[in-house]
Amino acid sequence: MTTTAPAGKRTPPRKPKPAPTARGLSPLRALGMAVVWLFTALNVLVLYWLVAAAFKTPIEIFTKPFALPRTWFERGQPFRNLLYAWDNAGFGRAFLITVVLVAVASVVIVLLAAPAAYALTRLGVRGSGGLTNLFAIGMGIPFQTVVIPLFIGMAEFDLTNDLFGLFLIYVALSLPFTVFLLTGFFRSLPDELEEAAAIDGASPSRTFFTIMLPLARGGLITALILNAIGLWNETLLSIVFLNENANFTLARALFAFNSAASYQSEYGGLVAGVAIVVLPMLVLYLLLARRIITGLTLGAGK
Amino acid sequence: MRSTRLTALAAVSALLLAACGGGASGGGEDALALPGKDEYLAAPCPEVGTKPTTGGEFTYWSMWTKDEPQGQVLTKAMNCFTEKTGVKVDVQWLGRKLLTQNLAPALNTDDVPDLFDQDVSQVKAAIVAPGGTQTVEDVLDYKIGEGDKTVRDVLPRSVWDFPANKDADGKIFEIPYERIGNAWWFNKDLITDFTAPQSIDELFGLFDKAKENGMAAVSQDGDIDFYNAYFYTQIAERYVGAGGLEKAALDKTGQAWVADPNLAKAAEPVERLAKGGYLIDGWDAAKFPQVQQRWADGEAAYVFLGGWAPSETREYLAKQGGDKGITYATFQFPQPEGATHRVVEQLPLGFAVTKKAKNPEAAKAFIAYMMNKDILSGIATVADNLTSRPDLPTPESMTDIKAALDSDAEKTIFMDGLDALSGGKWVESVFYPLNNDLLKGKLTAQEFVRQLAAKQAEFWKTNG
Amino acid sequence: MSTATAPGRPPAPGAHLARKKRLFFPFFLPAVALYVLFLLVPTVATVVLGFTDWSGAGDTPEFTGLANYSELIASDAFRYSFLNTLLYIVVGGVGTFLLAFLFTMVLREMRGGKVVRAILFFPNIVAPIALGMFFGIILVYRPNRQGLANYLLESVGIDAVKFLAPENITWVVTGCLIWASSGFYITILMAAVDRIPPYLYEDSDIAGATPWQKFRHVTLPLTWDVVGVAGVLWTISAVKIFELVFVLAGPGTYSPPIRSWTLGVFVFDRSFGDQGAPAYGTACAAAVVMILLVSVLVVALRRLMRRDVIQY
Repeated sequence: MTTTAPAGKRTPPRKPKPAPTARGLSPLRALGMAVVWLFTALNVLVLYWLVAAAFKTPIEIFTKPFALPRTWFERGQPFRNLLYAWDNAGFGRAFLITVVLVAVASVVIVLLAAPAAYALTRLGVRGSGGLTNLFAIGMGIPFQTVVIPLFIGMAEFDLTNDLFGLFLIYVALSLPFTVFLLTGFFRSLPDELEEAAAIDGASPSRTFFTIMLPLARGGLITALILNAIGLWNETLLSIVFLNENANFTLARALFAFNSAASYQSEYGGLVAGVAIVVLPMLVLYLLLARRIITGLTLGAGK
Repeated sequence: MRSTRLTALAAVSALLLAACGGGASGGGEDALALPGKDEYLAAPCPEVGTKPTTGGEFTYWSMWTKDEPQGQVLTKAMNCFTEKTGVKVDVQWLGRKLLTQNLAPALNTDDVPDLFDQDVSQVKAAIVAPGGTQTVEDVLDYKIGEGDKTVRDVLPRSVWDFPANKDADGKIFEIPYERIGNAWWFNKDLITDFTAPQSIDELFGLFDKAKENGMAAVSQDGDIDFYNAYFYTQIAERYVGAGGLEKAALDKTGQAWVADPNLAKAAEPVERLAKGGYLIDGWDAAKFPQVQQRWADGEAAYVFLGGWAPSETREYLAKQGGDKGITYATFQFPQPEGATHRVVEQLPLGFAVTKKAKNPEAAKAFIAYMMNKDILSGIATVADNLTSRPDLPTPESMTDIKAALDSDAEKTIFMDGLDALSGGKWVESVFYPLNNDLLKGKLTAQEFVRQLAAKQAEFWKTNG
Repeated sequence: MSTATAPGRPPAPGAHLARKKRLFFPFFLPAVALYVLFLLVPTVATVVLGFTDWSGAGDTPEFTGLANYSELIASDAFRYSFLNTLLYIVVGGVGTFLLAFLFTMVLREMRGGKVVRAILFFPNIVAPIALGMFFGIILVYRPNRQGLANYLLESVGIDAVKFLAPENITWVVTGCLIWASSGFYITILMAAVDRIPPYLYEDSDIAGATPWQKFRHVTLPLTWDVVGVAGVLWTISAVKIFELVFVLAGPGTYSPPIRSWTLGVFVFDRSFGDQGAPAYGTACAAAVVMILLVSVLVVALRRLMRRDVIQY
């Protein structure tokens, strides 16, 4: 993977790994090492438990947490829990809805936020700093505080229990963070290229689309991924704004399934439901972990 | 690197696809199913008595999930209704919290269902109070598909005609299809020498005997506040009668709790239950329904629950993959010493129609169809609960509860309706916290009523 | 391209700047319009509704002044919610950052540090509701059939703990929060640490500095700004805690016991989770308290963290 331009500019030359220190381990460092490994092992364990339990019977889940799943395999129905969750929680439809909603919303968020962030950082308009802060303040407004007026207002326009309505809310409420993140990126871009483009006679909008956007590609992709993860997992708004099974997103369906499955002692299905929601993000994460982490740190570090 | 990741991705998606594409789910869990279940689900559809003239479709938001026994019965009912009338049913399986999480918010819009269900008490507090329902009194005269019989002919008056089922105009808003009572449950296979207790001391005698036999006496899912409230309210109602607790709770000064010494006396058995170590280890760190499952597994002798105990625990045992069932048996709280009222709690659960319903006629026709004996009997045979029609067969586990409900004892709603006071805020901030402390043995009976009085006075000052 | 400008001659810088400025509104307006419409206006509406009594459908908001606020102050549920939220922010935050600092000391020089970082970050991509359900299952206390956590404790000879008892639940949630969120802050802090020129560490190695001294005199001063930003991020996200508590501390269907509530749960319960008709006015008043809490804490944090930037 080639380093992105903004990252490339600031990354210090890679230093050789320090030779293992000859001195004995200091107590603090030993403690640190122990905690780090314990923590890491715990996370791996938890992940294993989650995946394994999705294939187990309730008894196996609680009495043999580390054993490999057996019973359902022996009965020739290894996917019984996943199927159960899939059928009974309506995950099939929810999965489709969530993929489309999250994908479209994330793209639209970036499409709206990128020009705004560009405008705030590189057009030299007076008052930009204040406006950027205005957006940053939006990050501090908890969703809970706007949910009631939003619900009543959206109801006026028949946009409750409506995926388009939820889409609008998702886009709008994700803008502060995304604009904030992208201003960091645009600010870090070198001035020279923009000036060169201007000298070549390119119009400002052309400069933006053909020079600056590609340069900020790393930031845009990061914004896209972070929004996708956030929206994939979003629960509160979908509980409030979606009423019908037919409209449920995955997280919403999981919330409903949680209480239903408890009544029915359906722990296998419950864990499988969790796995269905978590695993796609895990795959995305495995593929993109580096991108997520570098992007995040660039945004936050600035 | 990239290619191994892609391979991993492909493998995972193949796995998922295989999971989604596989055949029917379930299986291997039917060992403990009720005998009448398959027969009921396969039976031909009865005729519709009152056909809607409008046709088309209606929307139903359900308190059940598709897979629960009641969900299966309702699915059968809807399929039959569609088969016989051509009216389609758009059903949303929303679960128990549909009233406050789905329906109440939706009342702000025009996008409401035609039909929904929940217990009378919750529907009244959340939906009837803001004027969200229309009366279903006309349904009483709908034919149910058994000759000329109407709903009124098959439902006894006591099932629908009571104050908690009346809206602001004094009309009924719900037609019940299930009647829930509550009781102490035990497994006859485990407790063989059982005699029903006639006094609180005899009740504790049973508990002591269970402990001697190496079992916990009482199982209790302590994370559900209103389960914890059963003990005190059941006993107290027998001292003060139906409606007596509600009256005490509405006293602005709170002094009602200390003025009547019986209200403190009613807390004494609860204190004894708490301090005597009768409750199963871990009941206070519960994650519902794991403690009632421990009762089902035979770790505890008794559990106090509503009529849903058999259906929930039977499903649990089936999902464990075992083949050992429970022979369910029940008894009511004995009359405490000096108590003068015989009281039975009930909770009718039924259908209501929204005020803004676009297809009320079809929805009401469906309610009447639900009362047909060949449809409604599924609530007994499949879901193991009491139907609202006394002439239908009673599940064996429910015979004692039914006898109690049909007796001439005073009837009141569960917890004397305390949980509906002030939109649920009274129990939440006054009663539940103190009652939980009482059940944990942190308060004596006297402290309990005194603190109730103080807290309540404080509560009504700000919530009056 | 354009015939107006002669090839080879750049347009006057002033003209170009003006053209650039013309882009401002088309670029900026769509985002800001949505932002104002969906976030700022509703926030103002919430503040206004906080002074009214309103139960939604079929009811009109009635001005009641500060009645909602005095109701909040008198309400046990609200007191618990407020204190728990504060506890999660402060104790959870201190725990998370201590852990993150400890890790920065070790991870920099550790083999496989990148992989470890990726693994630690993992809980952050899991939906909070899934985390809550997951913890609910592994924290079960049930003799002979314990959840994963007690299974581990018992297998090393420690007595099982009643994690889900109401007296313990706030601490359990705090622990879960620290576990789930520390990866995020470790990642951010480590990125800042990675930007510190290595020679500073090499010099201190030569001078025989202990890890603590290196942390105290190199890492901390040079990452101070990032720590400040991370602290603000933590405060903002910790104020909203809802799903994790709702699912973990209760049966999942009904609201959990009030002892475990957060402000997020309070607002939800009053508007969508209660037994009876919604109390939108009270919920809005509590929401205003949330905003005030964030503002106060963020301002305080910024004051606390203020100092001169160290250039390197």
